Amino acid sequence: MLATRVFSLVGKRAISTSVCVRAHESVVKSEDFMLPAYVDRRDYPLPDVAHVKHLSASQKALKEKEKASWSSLSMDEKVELYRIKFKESFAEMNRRSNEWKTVVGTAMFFIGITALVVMWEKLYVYGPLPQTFDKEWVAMQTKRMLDMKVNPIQGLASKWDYEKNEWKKLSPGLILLPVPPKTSSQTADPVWRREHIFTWSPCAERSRDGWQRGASCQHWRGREEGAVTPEGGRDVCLWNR
Amino acid sequence: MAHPVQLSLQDATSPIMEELITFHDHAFMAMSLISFLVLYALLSTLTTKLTNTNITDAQEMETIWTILPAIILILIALPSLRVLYLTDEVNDPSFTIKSIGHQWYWTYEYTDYGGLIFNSYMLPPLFLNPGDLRLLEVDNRVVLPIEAPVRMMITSQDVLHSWTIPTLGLKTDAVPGRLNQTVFTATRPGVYYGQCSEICGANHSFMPIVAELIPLKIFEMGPVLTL
Repeated sequence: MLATRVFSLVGKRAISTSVCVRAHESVVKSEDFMLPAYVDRRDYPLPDVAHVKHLSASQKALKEKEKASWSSLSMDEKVELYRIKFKESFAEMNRRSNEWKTVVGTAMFFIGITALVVMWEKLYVYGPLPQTFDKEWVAMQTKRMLDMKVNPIQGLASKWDYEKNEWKKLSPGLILLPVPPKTSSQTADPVWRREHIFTWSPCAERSRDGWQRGASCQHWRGREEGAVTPEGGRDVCLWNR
Repeated sequence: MAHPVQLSLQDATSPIMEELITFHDHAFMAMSLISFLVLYALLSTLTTKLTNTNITDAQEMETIWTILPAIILILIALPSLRVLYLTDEVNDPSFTIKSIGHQWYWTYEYTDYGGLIFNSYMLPPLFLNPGDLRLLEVDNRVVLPIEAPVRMMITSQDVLHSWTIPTLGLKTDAVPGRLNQTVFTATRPGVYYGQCSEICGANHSFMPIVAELIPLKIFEMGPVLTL
């Protein structure tokens, strides 16, 4: 019984197996599609044949009565004549259904399964993100972009208030951007210079403001063991070590 | 450079890019209007209760919806051709630089007043300073002056590459055996980024272009500060 009802959900829409057809009587198996058939269609108001082909005795009598004046017909008789000719009225054939709930529910179900698959992937398949996605790195990056005045006309730097050193107060719908570090001492904090950022780098002199590259020697520089100063560790040339 | 998830064009740093942005806005508006109209017509057709299966011809409507799109296309084509010819203008550049694409780095040659040739490799992620842009920073930037027309001669040593800086409105293919020319005049100093724009092998995504545009007076002092 339940299986039949499940199949009726499926059968109404697509596949027409005998189980689905038996589930409800509205689907009619046609012997020959060349013969004129009855259809309930909004854009075909007068079907080719009447709905009821074989009239019972009372219906035949009613058809005889129809040949006389129609004012002698009662309301029930008129409805009976209508139902002989047509299966559904316009109101019935155009009624809404609950099919959309099935469709939306099934779609959301499969989207949910996909979400589970994606979560599993993130946990077991993908490696770690590069360090440039760390919040501190993004904050430094944003500060650098603001210092460089990236897109100052309508883009990023145009949304930064350079006098007050904060994001401009714009319309409420704006997505908040990462907060760049407030002072340079924050960027020199040892937290910024964690070991995972880099311990070995090509020997390169860096000027105080940090963005230029200077002369390079051919040696390698590394961080002194355990040297964590307020400047964030001393780079020493390891050629002489 | 673009901020993350940026979909729009970057702000212009040269007059040509300003023209391109204006044209883009114009064409986008025309496109949006047409798309909205079509979407409305589609939704109306799908949700109407009216049924009429007996329309055979509609000559007046057909004439209108042939002439009107032709007019709209002309209105888009005329500014497009104007900008196209503007980008081809060469206005007596004061400076010429050669940019040669290799797999997978760029070589820049400043040979107008001497012989300065250097390579520009992407900085690997481990070599970045904190706050640098991953996949965009290079070890040696192209240093160029602002407010002076600069001619770039672009070619390649091996396979096709493409030298581009979006904010300057530049994109020129680097074709081996051929010299392509592009001219630009920058209006703002700063550091501007671009990425190789023609598939060239395994590290195609890892050969960016970084232009450092500095005031003309400082540029004329020569390569004393950056090397």
